[in-house]
Amino acid sequence: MKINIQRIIFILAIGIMIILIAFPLALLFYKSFLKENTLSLVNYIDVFSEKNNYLPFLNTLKIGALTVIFATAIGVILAWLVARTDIPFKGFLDTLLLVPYMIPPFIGAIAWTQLLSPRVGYINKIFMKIFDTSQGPFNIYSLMGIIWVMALYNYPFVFITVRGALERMDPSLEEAARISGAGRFEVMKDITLPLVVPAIVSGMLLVFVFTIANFGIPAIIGMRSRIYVLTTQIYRYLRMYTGGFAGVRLAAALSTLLMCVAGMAVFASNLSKKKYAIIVGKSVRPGIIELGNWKYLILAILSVFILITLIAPLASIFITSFLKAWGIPVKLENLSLKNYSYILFGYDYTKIAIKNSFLLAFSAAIITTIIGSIIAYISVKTEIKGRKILDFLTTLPYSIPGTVVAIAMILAWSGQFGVKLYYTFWIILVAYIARYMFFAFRNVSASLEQIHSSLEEAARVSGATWLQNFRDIVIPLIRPGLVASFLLVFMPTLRELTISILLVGPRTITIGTAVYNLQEEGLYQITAALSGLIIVILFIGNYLVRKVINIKTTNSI
Amino acid sequence: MGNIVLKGLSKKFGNVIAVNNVNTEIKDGEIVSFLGPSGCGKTTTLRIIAGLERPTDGKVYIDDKLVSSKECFIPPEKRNLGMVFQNYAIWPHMTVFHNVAYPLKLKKVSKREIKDKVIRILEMVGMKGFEERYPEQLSGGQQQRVALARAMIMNPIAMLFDEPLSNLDAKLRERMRFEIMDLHKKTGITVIYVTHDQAEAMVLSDQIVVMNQGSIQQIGTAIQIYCEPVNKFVADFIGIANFIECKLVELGKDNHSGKVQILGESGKNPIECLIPLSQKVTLDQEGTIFIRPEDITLLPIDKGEHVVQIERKAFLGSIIDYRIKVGKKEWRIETNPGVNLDVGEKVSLHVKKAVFLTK
Repeated sequence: MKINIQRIIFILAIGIMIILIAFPLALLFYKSFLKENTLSLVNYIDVFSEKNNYLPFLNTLKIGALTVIFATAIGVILAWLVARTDIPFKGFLDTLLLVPYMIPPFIGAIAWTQLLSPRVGYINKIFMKIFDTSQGPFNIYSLMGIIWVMALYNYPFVFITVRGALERMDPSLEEAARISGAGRFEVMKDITLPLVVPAIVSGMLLVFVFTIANFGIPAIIGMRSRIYVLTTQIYRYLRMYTGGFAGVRLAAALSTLLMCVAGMAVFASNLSKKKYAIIVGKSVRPGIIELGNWKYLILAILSVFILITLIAPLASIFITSFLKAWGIPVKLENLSLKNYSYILFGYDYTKIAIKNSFLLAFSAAIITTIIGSIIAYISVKTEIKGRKILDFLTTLPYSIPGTVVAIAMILAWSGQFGVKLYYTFWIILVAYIARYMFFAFRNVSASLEQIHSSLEEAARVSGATWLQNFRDIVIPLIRPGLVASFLLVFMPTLRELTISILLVGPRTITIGTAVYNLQEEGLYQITAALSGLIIVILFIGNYLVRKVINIKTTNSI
Repeated sequence: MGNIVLKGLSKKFGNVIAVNNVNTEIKDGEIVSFLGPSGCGKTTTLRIIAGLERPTDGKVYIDDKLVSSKECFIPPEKRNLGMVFQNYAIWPHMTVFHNVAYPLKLKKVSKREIKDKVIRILEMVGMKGFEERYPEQLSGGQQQRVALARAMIMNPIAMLFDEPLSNLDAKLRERMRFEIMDLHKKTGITVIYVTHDQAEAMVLSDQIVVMNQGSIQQIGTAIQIYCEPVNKFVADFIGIANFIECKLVELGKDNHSGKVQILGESGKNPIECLIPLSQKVTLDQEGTIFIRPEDITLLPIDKGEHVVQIERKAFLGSIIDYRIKVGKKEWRIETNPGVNLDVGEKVSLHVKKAVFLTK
């Protein structure tokens, strides 16, 4: 009986994943070689023969590379300070430094345009007042502007991986070097740094993949000054031909290109996964370096860093969202909650967007949690042959840029195969499920791995069937993991931009696309109110996730 | 050279006193074990000697030179000690050769000399031919040998071992014990060895320092701490012991032996037992005696005075483990397998030796 139920579920899961993921991506790859029904490289030659195409490609690489450098520098230094020094307010710093991780990058980009826009940005205005000039010193609408914002919203990936490696490293490795005659500096150079290099490299590749896949930041900052990257150029092609075939074909070719670059980075990161066994099981105190009087200088620099990179953008978003009109001075009598009541109750466009996004996020979170749990169970708890394929299919869309996933969905579900979902609510939902399944899968897998098989075996011996065991033992034990996985899909889909902007129709607008379109139309204070709303929701969500995960660790099985 | 002196050593972590006024001297060429349960302060003491922790109070002298005190602190890299860690601490990004060569490289020794020395020392620990291997390709025992080679290559003043064998399986552990002893014999180096395993401490050491809750309980040879423990903690921690609350009711003329009355068992015959001479006791004094299970003999009823019944029995190969009840307490008795008695059988007790611990 057990084998049969498991096998049926496995086949169903494989089928769903093939339809959701393998088929659209394969189709995209195939279509990128197709012109007038013959296989050729014409699309790629078209792509590279035109300046409109190879410039975005070069920009993508340039922004990717420079962002990696800046984000790594920031991330490694901060990780070292938090993990290995006696800097005060560590817990507080740790939380603050991870805040950029929660803020959607496109909202960060909007905040930075508010701060560093040449004539009206808040920071530029301050400089203009002090030095009495007609233009501020910074221009966000530039390649450096894109890289700056990218680095600020991506350094947490380096920070998290490197801090983890530094904290969990067996301190006796460094102590052994001290005893061997190495001073502090030599220990850092010969032991600590080489041992965290794998963590740094994997953080760097993560940043690279996320940077080249990002749409929001180059769209909001770059398009205005005609700096295009692959993701924004794909968006332009679709818009230019309003979804016509020529546009889709060119977009498909660029998408394949983007997929290849991202694929190479992911491949490289898998190669670099060869991690040293530097982690010890028992809890250890890593060697803490005393900063002495440097402590205060470093704390001051950190405070300025946090003030500029974290407080300023958030303050800018919220202040703008309370402004009665864009451009008027920030005075108490000019502030109100009018914008919030307008987007929530007055303005149809945002009302629809909020309703759609909540509906999409809720459905996507429920469906991915259910399917993700089943796949996780098959992967972790059974020996079924072919479960690795399921693993692979689930993980794949996570490493593929959202833009590519969206284009693949358009190709697969725009009627050619009898299913016409383009411009409907459903195509967005399908794309979200494909893309975010991995989050649910990873979370539930982690929970399942903590359940020792003897717990299930005890249930079976006590007389439970496989299904009863699943219902009465497995589900209750992984409940915190299920809740976390729901929230971890719900939050990013609620504010999703990259995929939805390519898939929305006139009536299926989402919060992300609404924010983007309103920003483009110059309705800055309404954009800010909508952004503020998202930020508040995301903070609450992240707080809940932390609570749930804490419960999980205290009742660890 | 090579002696280590600890004077009034204390270490606090916040409000927790990890090491409390430790005084001892380790003589040149000795193997001294610090033995105690986890959290007793033995590892912290070792780390203070190594210079990995700074003492809150007290002084450490190595080779008659002050290395740690409130005012003075010589960092670990300047102390010329060798240390072997519990989890080996072999650097995973370096080959065996580079691991062992690292201390020499820091001292800017010439490449040829490094090569000669490393090969020689790897030969000594039985790891020749493994030079190009990475740590992940080695077993636990092999990693431990590499750690040993790395610690010895600088001809340190002393070698510090922090529970080096606790991650190895029982057989290998036993073999490594003897290898460490052999190395000590060959080099004559001072060794400080931290362990919670009494057998390990007893096999290896010239002197054992028994610690509990940060303080030294007793310093002595293996025989001394086993046969003449100074307090209940040492008696209980080393080997197995029966503790009996009692009163001295009869004292032999030579003060060698006496009879005790088990408290709460008045009316029954007192138990006769030998009390070592070092204990100054007076008649009617109350205290605790402790008796090792092998120091009790079971005799036929008519041969002794204190009659008891066998409650439980377990055959353990080289010994038989009997439990009897005396008063409310269960006693543990070990006999050779020749003495085969059944559960429920009545026997009389004879105590060959006991230690009287005054209250």
